[in-house]
Amino acid sequence: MIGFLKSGSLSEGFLVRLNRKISPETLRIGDFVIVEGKLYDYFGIIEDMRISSSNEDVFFAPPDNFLKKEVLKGSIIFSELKVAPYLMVERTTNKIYTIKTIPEHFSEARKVNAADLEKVFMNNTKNPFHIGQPLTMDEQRIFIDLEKLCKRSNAIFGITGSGKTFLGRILFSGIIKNSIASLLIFDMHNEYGRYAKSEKSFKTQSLKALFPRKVKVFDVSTKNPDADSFISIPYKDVTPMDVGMLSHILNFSDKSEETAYIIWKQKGTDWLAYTLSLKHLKEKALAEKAEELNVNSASLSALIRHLSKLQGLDFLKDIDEKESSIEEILAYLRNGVSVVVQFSGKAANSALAYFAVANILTRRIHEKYVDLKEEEREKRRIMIVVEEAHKFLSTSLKEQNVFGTIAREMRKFNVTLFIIDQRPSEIDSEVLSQVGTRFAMQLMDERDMDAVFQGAGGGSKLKKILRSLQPQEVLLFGYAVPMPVAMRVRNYGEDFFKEVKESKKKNPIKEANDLY
Amino acid sequence: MDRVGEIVIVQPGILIAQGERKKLPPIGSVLKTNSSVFCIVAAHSIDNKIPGRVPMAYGKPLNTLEFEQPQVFALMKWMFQLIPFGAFKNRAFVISYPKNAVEIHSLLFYATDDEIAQTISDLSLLDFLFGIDSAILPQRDEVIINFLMNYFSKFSTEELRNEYLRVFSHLAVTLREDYFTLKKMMDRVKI
Repeated sequence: MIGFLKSGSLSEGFLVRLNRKISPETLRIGDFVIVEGKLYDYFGIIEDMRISSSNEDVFFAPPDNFLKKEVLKGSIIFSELKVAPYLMVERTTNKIYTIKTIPEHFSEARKVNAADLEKVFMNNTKNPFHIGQPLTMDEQRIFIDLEKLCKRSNAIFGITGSGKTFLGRILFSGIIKNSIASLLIFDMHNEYGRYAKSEKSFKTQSLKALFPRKVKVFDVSTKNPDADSFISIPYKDVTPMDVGMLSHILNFSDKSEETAYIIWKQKGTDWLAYTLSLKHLKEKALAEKAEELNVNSASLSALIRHLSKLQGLDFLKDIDEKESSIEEILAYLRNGVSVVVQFSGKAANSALAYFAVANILTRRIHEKYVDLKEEEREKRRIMIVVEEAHKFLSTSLKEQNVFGTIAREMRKFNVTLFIIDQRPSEIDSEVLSQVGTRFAMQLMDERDMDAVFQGAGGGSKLKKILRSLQPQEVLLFGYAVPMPVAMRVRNYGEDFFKEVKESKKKNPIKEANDLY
Repeated sequence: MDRVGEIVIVQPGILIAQGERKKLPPIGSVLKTNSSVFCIVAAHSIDNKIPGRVPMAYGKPLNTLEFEQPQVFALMKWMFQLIPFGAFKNRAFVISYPKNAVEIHSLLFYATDDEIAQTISDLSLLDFLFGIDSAILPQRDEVIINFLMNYFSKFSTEELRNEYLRVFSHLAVTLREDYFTLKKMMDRVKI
């Protein structure tokens, strides 16, 4: 027992007086606490802590030795916890309810144990997956319901170095191992393929190394020796909407976008090849073409200049649609193989390459999935993973945003989004409100912290916990977990690899290849 | 078992006993009657055997005076006040004023260390003493300090720290509104 219930209310939570023998330093904000009522165990998390005194006189003549200080603990000086209750578990039935009542005075408060965590986090869970441990209890384990996680869009938010990638790899490993969804990962920094750098710059295994038969690595560059295949996107697969999504990189004006749409309406899927073919025309000839297309000559010239940047992308080619990688990737995804799209060679750290590929591929998948029959869609769930998501999901790109559409509407089509980002405040609030489960890691900017809780109740209580997080720690809340949980992400190392590594029974890649 | 004194006056909440010169029990010591009522020594007084007699000053050292004028001491009564606080009932120590009047002329004896330990195993003894009206027990703090010093003196170093914590943590609750009294006690009861 760590203390007893001193006061409380449904709206303000519980106030627990700590026992004199329990140092507040052995607990921390975000820890789980159970208050044992007569009928229910009340699950809560420490939302705040304070030290206090019952008599201010003590500060005029403080105790002059350790023993005297010990004497005063628990009576004249004491510590209290503010506990935010989230669930109550009926003792006799183990049924879980949201908080509807409160326990009596002096109800005992204690830390959780493994059985408690199991009761709450593994209740009716088909695929419980160990993702971490409570902040101050290394021996306990916290599980997440992966099936539930994949039913809605999700997000990991955190600054650079907070551990987003490690957490992502752990979650994605669980999803792949349990065949819950096919992942399409746009791997901006080449961290989810075969190998990646660990925190200490050692080479560590990544998804392809752990699941050689369940993961396919595509690269936009042929320079990547680890890639299974390379991305080719025909010009015909590019729409003005795709280009509009790149406007912040291509320096596209509204006028250019409008011009692109006019050409697209006239030339159809050939619009890009046609526009780029005008690149070498002299001024007079270009003016004639502009007149022919019924667009402004200067706007056409600007559009050509902006679009020319796309010619630097090796994967974007004036080729036949049959040579497109899109169908191949879709076939893998529909057959349970996850696809990691990497960016090597010239495309490494190229925002243009990343956003172009992510946007074009996602838009096609969206179109294909919407067209599929319901039973086809239900066969395989797809989760699209995007890093630097704020650049796709900002309010300014709201209209043409396929990622926003997926976050908002695609759950019913069995396609969900997994956002990995460090600037949640720049993501459109409507999209944020659709994120089912959020993994909030260390954040520094106040606006980002506020954004994390947008559309989720009880944010103000959790913000203090978020503020206290260190690297590799995460505040998890939302649809996939019965209550918010602050935890340390499990170690991504040999033990984890042993646990998840693919057995050599099935070969889904071979099965997918057999389709061709 | 040597007797320490004999109860000669029984008043509400307080007993007065007569002892012997130089053998009065120290303030804060625990005594028991021959009917096993436990009491704590609260104060000392020296009265005259002859009512109305007021001693005069002789201006001599005590030893000389005792040798030259022994009647001066023979005319005195060596008295002490006691607060009864409980008794054993079915082997358990129960803290309370005695229900029935303590018999006058009951003889008084020192309680053993084991008996003292049992009286304070229930720390409500301290609450009981703190609850006594200051008109009855004007030297309350001194009584408790002496009692505790005597009690703690029986412990080994290893046990002492835990017992000190147990007793004073309880006192800290009782005296949470009166920190300076608590502090005085902690400062005085040195271990």
